[in-house]
Amino acid sequence: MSSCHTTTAPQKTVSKEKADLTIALAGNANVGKSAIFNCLTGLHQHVGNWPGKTVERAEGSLHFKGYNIDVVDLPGIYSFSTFSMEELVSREYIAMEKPDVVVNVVDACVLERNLFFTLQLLELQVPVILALNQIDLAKAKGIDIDEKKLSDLLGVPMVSTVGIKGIGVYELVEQAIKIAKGELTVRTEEIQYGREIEERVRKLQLLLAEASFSYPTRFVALKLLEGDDEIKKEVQKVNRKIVETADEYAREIEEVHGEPCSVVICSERYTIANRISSEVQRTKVAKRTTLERIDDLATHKILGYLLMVGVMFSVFYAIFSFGGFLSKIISDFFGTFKPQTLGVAEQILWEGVAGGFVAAVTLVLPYVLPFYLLLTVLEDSGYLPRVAFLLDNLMHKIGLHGKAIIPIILGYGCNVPACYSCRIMETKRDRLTAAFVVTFVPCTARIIVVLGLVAAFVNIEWAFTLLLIDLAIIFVMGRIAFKALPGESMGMIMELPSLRLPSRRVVVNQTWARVKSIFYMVFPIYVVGGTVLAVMQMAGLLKPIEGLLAPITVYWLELPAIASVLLLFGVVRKELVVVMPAILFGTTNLATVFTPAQMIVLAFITMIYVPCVATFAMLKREFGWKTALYITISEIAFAVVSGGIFSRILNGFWAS
Amino acid sequence: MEIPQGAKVREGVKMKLDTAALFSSLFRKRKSETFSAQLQEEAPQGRMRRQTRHRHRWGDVIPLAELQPGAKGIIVVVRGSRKVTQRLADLGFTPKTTVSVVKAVPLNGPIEVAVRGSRLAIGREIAQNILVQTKGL
Repeated sequence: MSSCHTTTAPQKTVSKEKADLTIALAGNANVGKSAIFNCLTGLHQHVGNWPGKTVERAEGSLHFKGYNIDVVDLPGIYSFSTFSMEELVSREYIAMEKPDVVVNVVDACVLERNLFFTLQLLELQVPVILALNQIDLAKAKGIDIDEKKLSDLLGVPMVSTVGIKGIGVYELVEQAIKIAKGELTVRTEEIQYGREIEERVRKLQLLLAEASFSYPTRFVALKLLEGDDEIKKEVQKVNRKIVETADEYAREIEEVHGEPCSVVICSERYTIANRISSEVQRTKVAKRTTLERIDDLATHKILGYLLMVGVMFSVFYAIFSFGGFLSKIISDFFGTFKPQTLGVAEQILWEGVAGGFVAAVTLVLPYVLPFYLLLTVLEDSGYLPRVAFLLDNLMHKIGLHGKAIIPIILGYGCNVPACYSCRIMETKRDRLTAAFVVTFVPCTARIIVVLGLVAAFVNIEWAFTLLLIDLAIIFVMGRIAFKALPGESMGMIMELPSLRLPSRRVVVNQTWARVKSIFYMVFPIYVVGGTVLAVMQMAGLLKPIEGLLAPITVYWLELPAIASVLLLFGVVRKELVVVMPAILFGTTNLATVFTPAQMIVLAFITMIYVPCVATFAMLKREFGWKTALYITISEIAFAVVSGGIFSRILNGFWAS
Repeated sequence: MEIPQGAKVREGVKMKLDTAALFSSLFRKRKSETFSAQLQEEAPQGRMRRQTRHRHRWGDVIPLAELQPGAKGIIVVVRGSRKVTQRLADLGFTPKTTVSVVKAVPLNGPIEVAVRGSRLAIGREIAQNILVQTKGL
């Protein structure tokens, strides 16, 4: 047993040369597939302790003992029915692409339910290795598993692993290679159901024998009995009669058992899973761990809410105070560098490049770093599903259920992955409502604007007030979307994973992966944006833009004319609203440019006026052009109207 | 002048009816045995026979949502759309499975359920459709 990063040489890019073998990782949600994937490939696929992070398959590769191995991380699923996209994606991948080995990652703490999936995987007749993951957590809970027996009963090789620490991953790859080379054979004996089902499956198999499917015929026969729509469609193309016969059989089984056929098959599968797990598993009554006590507190009907408010408040307070402290140190450091008088071209370059860079380092990094760190800790601890549990009632008010709070919280980090994570919602309507609400959540970029404009030059109370106003807007907008959008919604069914102490390695890797994207992608935008702005200023392009938008910005919103330019740049990255003035006016003291009321209004508008380009692209990808445009237009309209009213209220307030 | 007066009277009547309905619903909710009667009323014709059989074999059934935290029940039937019932079955909510309520969020909030060694958060409206019996544990 050794850590993966020392034993394997991860290749960061997927190599062009054909891989010698392909390993697919499959299993229930939240069992640690992505952790093992990261360990194998050295990539930074999103990991966290809440079910549903991986919604699309991720691919990476590794070099191991002279083999080029492709590794595919499939989304977590509980079954192979086709009621969710992820289940269909995983099933089709395994059946069509035929990976050489499927590593079934199994959570040792919830063996029975995980084996329910394993049994279905075996029905697909692919070579399977079991990775008994989180074995350390299981031991702590007093669960002892007889690995040899489990391996024998299922007829598949097994390796016990601790994915987040990289334990056992080395052996896993070794076994996979052995299977691919044919040194290790995997038994493909089917599990047997009750007589009523087996009889009919056999009859259907005979009927199906003439045609060829991408799935094994026994699997097709079972799925026909379960009433799987996708399989039905496929069989219908070949022979309509078979589907009708299968429906007739399913009715007969329902008659006998008094349950729908799919439930009968599910029940029998679970009976087998239960038999295996109770045979290999010994549970001692373990002492209640500290984490279990914290869990009790976290979902307590009164104390749970207090804890939640406390956690959220401390996260924001920590970011505000620590970020401010860090920002001051860095800006003092950069303050010592003074640009000398330069020629025109050099000046453009200096203002754009250096100005953009300095603004990014002093304004953005100090806040983003602690925020991402704390967000990762929250995600990895498994606290988010608890918040979802507590806030289910509140989310019902906006037509969603508790799970929707997870995209919203992630939205405080960045709207883009948050919109993406809306896929954890079950119906299209819920996904859309959640994504719409998420676009109003102030991401770090917007929080930086609020901090850089309001907290720095007005006061911290107004900054907090703005964030609270935004919270109210989120609620009101969600309520409107709830009333306006047609479609159905499904209630909450969510796994509550065990709380765990965040792993230092995961937290550091994840935070670094997120911060790194700021260096690679966002800093260049500041620099380019800064340069473009400087060039535009030289060429005298700013005045026409200001003039064109003056009716809105100057007369209605009562902002300085330059605000229109800032807001235009803000569409690309919202922080540019506060980064750009530093370049334009050559000073970071914005109090000379804006009045306090103007700063508050500008920050308010920046929070809500439009999804940034990246968020728009994500919305387009998830919901199409039309929806993305609708959302954008309605947000612009809302921001302009409410901004003007807000400005008048503020001016009245300041005058009195 | 007459019209507003008339409206006022009608409003009063409406109020009275509403409170009566409220009282009866409160009263009904406390009695678990009426639930199975309710269930039979709601059940489509084809399934009538089955529900009755369950009642004979296992005694009364109540929704999982009505179990107190700490209480256990054996699943009798899961009602609802195909999507929900299949999902629940995949997660281990199959007939004859023993489940226990760990926690309940007040004011009709979700419940935390222990099933087959895992913990799940289930919305109240879904838990209302998971019917369990508490005898014969």
